[in-house]
Amino acid sequence: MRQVLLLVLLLNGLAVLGAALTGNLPNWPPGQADIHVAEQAGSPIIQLGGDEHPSEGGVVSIWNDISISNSILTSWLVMAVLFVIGLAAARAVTEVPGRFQNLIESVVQGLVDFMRDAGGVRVVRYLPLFGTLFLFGLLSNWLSIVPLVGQVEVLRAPTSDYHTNLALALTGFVWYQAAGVRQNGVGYFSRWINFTGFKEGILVGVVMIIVGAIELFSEIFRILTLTLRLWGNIWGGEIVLAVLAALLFVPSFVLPFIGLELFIGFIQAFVFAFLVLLYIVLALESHGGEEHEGAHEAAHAA
Amino acid sequence: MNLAWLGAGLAIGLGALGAGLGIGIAGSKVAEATGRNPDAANAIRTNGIIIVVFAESLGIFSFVIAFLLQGKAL
Repeated sequence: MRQVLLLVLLLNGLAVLGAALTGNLPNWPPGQADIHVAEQAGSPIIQLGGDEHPSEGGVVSIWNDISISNSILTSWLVMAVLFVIGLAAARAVTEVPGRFQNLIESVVQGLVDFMRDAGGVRVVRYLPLFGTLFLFGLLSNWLSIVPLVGQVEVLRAPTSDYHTNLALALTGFVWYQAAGVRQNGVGYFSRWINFTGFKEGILVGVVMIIVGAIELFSEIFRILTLTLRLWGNIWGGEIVLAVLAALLFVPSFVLPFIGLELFIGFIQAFVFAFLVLLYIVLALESHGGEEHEGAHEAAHAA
Repeated sequence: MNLAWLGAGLAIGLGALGAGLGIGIAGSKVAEATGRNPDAANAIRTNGIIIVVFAESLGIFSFVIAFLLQGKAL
């Protein structure tokens, strides 16, 4: 342990010394130009159509900017990795699991156990959505601290571009609304438009309608908060790393913060998938609803 | 002199204040619950992390707002 620490310190000293000898020492204290803050969204690498610079004015629409951005490319890479792992795991299923199959089985089993604890047996059928959101988010979040990703033009962590997060949030949104409609039929919409309160008086009816309107708005804010939570954490983490790397001068002093980013990446991917699962559970239970006050409170806190 | 910078500083400062208060309260309650019932420590920790993330995400929103404001000229 001590030898490793000494080796790391020695390497750092050599790096600083080498930079000093060749005259490449970074400015300290760093100015604004020395801190390379990541852009808010990915930049296009292949322009397929639309205006060259949609940000400089004009109507913003989907036709303004049709391009393959660096975050799309990286998310394809993540998908390819997940696809290959899944294919390899599904190909070689044996009675006595090997080490690789054991790992995959424990991951899937952990996800299923968590889903069963959160929403009962009936939500286990949403494992494809939950597991994909979690694993895709996890890999993308952890990509943001891999060297070169976010630093070269063609690579960028998918979840540090808010478009990816919006797409993930919309996927979860459509999925849980569909789950609610499928479970409750037309009665699902009574969570937003509810006239049954008028049976108990005008005042109760009006309050029920206002509550329904608030519910309707909270649907929009669910998308917004899902998107911004993940994006802010990952993008903010990249900025924190960049600022600290400029501020701390010695390269590996940033390592503890990389550990922090690993933790945050895991937690945020988990929370994203868990919230979509929670919304599915709420949508399944939406009719009546009074007996699940606690769960509703948790959803509103989000 | 740019008033947007003042706004950015206020956004991240007040936002972090609120998020920090919330995380502090939730964390103290998690520690209390774990002390009272050590057998349930794992479940309490999982729930605690999930709850803390909600408070923390508000701080992250203010961070995002601060960064968006920082690039604005008044």
